[in-house]
Amino acid sequence: MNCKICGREAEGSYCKVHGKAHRNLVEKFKVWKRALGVQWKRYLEEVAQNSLTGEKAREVASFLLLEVDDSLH
Amino acid sequence: MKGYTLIVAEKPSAARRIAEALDVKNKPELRKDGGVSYFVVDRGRKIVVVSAIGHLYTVTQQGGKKTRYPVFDFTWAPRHLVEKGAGKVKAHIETISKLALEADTFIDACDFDVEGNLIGYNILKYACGKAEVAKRMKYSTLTSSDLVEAYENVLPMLDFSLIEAGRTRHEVDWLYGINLSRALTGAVKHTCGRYVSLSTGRVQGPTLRFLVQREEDILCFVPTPFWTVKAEVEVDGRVYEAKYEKRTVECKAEAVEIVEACQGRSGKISKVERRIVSQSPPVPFDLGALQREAYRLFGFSPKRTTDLAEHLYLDALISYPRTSSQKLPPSINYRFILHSLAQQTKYEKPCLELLRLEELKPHEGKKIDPAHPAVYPTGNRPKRKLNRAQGKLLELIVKRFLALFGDPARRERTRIEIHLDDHLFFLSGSKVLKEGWMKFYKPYVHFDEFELPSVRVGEDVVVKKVTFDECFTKPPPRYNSGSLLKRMEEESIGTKATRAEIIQTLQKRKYISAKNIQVTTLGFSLTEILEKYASTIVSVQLTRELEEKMRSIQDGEEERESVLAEAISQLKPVLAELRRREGTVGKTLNMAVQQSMLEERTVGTCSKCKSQLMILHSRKTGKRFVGCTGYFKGICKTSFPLPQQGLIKPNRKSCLSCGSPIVTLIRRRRKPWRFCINPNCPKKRKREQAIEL
Ligand SMILES: [Zn+2]
Ligand SMILES: [Zn+2]
Ligand SMILES: [Zn+2]
Repeated sequence: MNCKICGREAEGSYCKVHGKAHRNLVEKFKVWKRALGVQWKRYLEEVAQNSLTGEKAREVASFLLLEVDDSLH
Repeated sequence: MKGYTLIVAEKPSAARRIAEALDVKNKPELRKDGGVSYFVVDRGRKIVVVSAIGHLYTVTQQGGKKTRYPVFDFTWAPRHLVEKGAGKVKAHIETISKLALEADTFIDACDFDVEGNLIGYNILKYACGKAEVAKRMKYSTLTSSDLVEAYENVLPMLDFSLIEAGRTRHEVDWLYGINLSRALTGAVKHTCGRYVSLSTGRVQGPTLRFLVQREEDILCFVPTPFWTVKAEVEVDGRVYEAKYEKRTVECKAEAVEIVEACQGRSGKISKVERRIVSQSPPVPFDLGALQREAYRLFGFSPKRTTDLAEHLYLDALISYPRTSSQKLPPSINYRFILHSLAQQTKYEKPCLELLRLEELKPHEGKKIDPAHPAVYPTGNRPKRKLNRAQGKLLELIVKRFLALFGDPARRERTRIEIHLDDHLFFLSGSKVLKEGWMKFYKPYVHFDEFELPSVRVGEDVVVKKVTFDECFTKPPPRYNSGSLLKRMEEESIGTKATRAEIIQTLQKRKYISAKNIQVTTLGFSLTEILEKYASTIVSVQLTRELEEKMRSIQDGEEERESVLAEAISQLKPVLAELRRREGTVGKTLNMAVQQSMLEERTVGTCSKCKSQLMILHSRKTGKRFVGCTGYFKGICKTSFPLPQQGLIKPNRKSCLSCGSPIVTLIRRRRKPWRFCINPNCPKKRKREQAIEL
């Protein structure tokens, strides 16, 4: 399997670094939900445009947003 | 000339100081042999003082091709036979060998630490053949009095366990360095047919890994929101900002609720708490602490601080800087040093104040070093003009020395609690009651004083408004050379003498960027490869364990042979694995090298077509310039001229005035010059003038 984002060697859907960013995203969603009551899509949008978000986390968030959009159609 | 004592010093300037100190008239005779200076000293008995130029001998492969690996057979050889550009070494070895023929007594006077002991030993062994009978001068400053004392009380023999420890360290580092470099370089060569020099070392691997891990934390960081609530309260006509008892509120609804509940309420002072805190003076500088403090205050890299301190030491202005001690024994004579420093106008007042004390007792730290005390000033006045950086470092060392004798500083901390109904807010303030040692350490220490009004419990205060701010958690900071050095110390990898060098090597090999220690693509790939196929090499724990074993040699608790055997048994499987994976390793590294080369040439984005701007060379003239890569797609002709001399490095920043990329020009013996590549930049002239200043 190759990483869905960068095409590097992957275990599962993502490479090592994107995998770590993905785990962080899932983990931190709980905090955001508690803090603002946001839903998954809104959360991803917020994180994707926050200037403090790390580059890899932003890439994963943007990628997941595409998936969310696809699933709506 | 016959029948004299031959003293071997580590560096020419140390040799001169030793010769001057020991000569009865302080005027030794300078002689030269094949370009190498030595001194003939009259001290009733004839003494000849000659110097090395650091290490004259080094570890090298014993026979065989210079590209094969694994290679575990090594020997010690004169450096000029092994390294390019070590031509002077030959002359030094020849002169020392000649002088040794007629000498009857031998003294090693190199710096007293692992490296110095090894330098002296190798010379006495290979150039003189007298290591077994040589004596040892031990001193911590190059002042005349210390040198004379060291000579009069010369130690009867060399410190062989320290030498053994040093020898083993060099040998183990060589085994790691040579084998890993050959494995990595060979992998690219065999897979892609390209020669790129790649290397890593025993301590470099784990150090780079710290950096990679931190960089990954930053890249993968997801901020989370939190809120802070504050109340503006008026006391005695002044407005203060009181903080809410919970410093952070994790839910927006809760923050809104608090603010609503407090709206329109008046406040009542419910508690006033005053606490006196005492702060002890700092402890004397060991090398690591000096490097960190110089980085914090002046932005000096650890390597630069080491070099500057070395100069100050060779000028007999400070004691030996490569120390891990935080102790200053009375034998260094505090009073004498303070008296000497008082001769300099700028230190006169504080020194006289300290000299009035009945007892002088420095505040000391826990760390000890059997070879040297902590870093301290000798009290000597500089004989030549110091450059700015040397002057700064010396002043820091002097002021730290003075501060050690000061009283603890005392501060009063005040906390005023204000209740708005059920909600608690507080004000905090601080006031210096007694400066103590801080007076001596200015301007390197300063306190934010914030005085609060005097109020009584039960008093009412006017609440002007209550608000909340939305904040986000921040990613962890990148390491800087100060914090990286600290991490290496905490993890016990490397030694005080080598850590600064390792950070510099990582920069030289382009695994990290020079400025803010950002890991490059190459650094990432290398670490990834090593983690995957050579995990023992980047393991902090194994590195530390080996480090501890080498230290035990120093204490006579471990043997050189067994440490070497262990290093080899760690390396063997790693090298076999790297060879088995040569294809993958070579391809990955080759790609990373290419990517890095591309990054080095990319200066920014074109404002017209958003393609990359790169440093290119004209096919016709060979001259370099910045060109837009949109040109190759036929969409853009943007280009900028560049200076033809020197090295150009992209700055990854844009000009504030015109938005064009900034680059840095690095030329020999000149300060790096940062400039906007746009020749028509409106602020160009102004900036050029500013840079010249
Ligand atoms: Zn990836
Ligand atoms: Zn363009
Ligand atoms: Zn500009």
